[in-house]
Amino acid sequence: MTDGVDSHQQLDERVREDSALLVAAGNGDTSAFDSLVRTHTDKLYRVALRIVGNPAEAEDAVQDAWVSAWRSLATFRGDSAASTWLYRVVTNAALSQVRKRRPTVPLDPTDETMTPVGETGNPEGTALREEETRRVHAAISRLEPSQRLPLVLRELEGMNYEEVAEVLEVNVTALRSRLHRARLALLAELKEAP
Amino acid sequence: MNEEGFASDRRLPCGHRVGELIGYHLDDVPPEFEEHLRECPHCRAELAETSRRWRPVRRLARSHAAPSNDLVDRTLATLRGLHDRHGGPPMEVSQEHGTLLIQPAATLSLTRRLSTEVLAEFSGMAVRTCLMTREAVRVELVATHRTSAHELLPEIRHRLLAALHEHLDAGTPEVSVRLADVVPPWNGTGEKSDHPPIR
Repeated sequence: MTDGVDSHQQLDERVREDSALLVAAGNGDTSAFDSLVRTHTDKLYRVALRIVGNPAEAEDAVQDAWVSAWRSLATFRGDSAASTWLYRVVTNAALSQVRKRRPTVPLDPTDETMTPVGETGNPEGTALREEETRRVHAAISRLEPSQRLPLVLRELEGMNYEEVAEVLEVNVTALRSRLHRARLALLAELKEAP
Repeated sequence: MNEEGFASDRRLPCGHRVGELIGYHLDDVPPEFEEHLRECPHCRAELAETSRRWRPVRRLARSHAAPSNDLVDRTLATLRGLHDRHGGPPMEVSQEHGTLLIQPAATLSLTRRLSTEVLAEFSGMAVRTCLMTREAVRVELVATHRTSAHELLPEIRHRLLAALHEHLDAGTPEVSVRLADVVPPWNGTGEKSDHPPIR
């Protein structure tokens, strides 16, 4: 029980520190902003990757997100947690990346020779795991953005309903409805899973 | 996406709908349903099936996804370019009613945005870094296929310059576009790529 209270306190302290850093950055303290970049980039990357479904584009989206965040510091009013605000910025950047895509022909769709086998010593197991991950990512990428974002934040990032609603700036009832549809759509896609 | 394939509206013999069960599986089970579940083989079977189908999503949620080792450094370099007030003198462009001054940060920011737009037409390529150097705006790309990507660089630079020219006209900077990294096609696991970038 004490551990739970301690981790809660640590979390609260972290939220306050992040907010203070954002406020300091808004006052022109670039080192405060750099500190946020160092702390949150991995987390933002994970969200971006799951929205765009491609590592190179996800990294690009993360850089865009930080640029947007720097420019929009004045809009951070401190009425939500810094991480919530940053999640909002990165989901917008990732979504923008997805929307910029046009139907294209891959450079060389037949080149499979560079696909790594993995290092687990069980090539078959690794291949199956990679195939499964690819399949889930592909299924998520076919969801409409209005379903994809809540699904990523709730089911993959493990955020609670209130947090997701705050990031997406919708009410919890609307969020529940979107999420329900997203889950059903994803289940339909995964119907043929072995 | 076709939700009907999952037949979420299908009614089980006990009267519950299949679509309800996903909510019970992923959120809280209400006490009245918990009681029902103990007695109902149909709901139990359907819930087990839902759980089986959802397993890959849970595994994905637990999987490790880390960016390249240098993403933070590249991001900080990008940001320094944007807020560096000593990033060089502004570009002066003569106009009919005076001189337009274009700050390097604005040029850099625009180049970054337009690069992403141009690359949207080239599958498998993305912006890795966009930096202002003394000589030019340097755009570095990452691709999944080295040979084809190299062949496309002149075309990408041409389109980028054309897009910049539309916005900046005579203030269009010198632009260099190079392939800085080639990564294997994504293995889907989100695991870190440790290969060194091209130098």
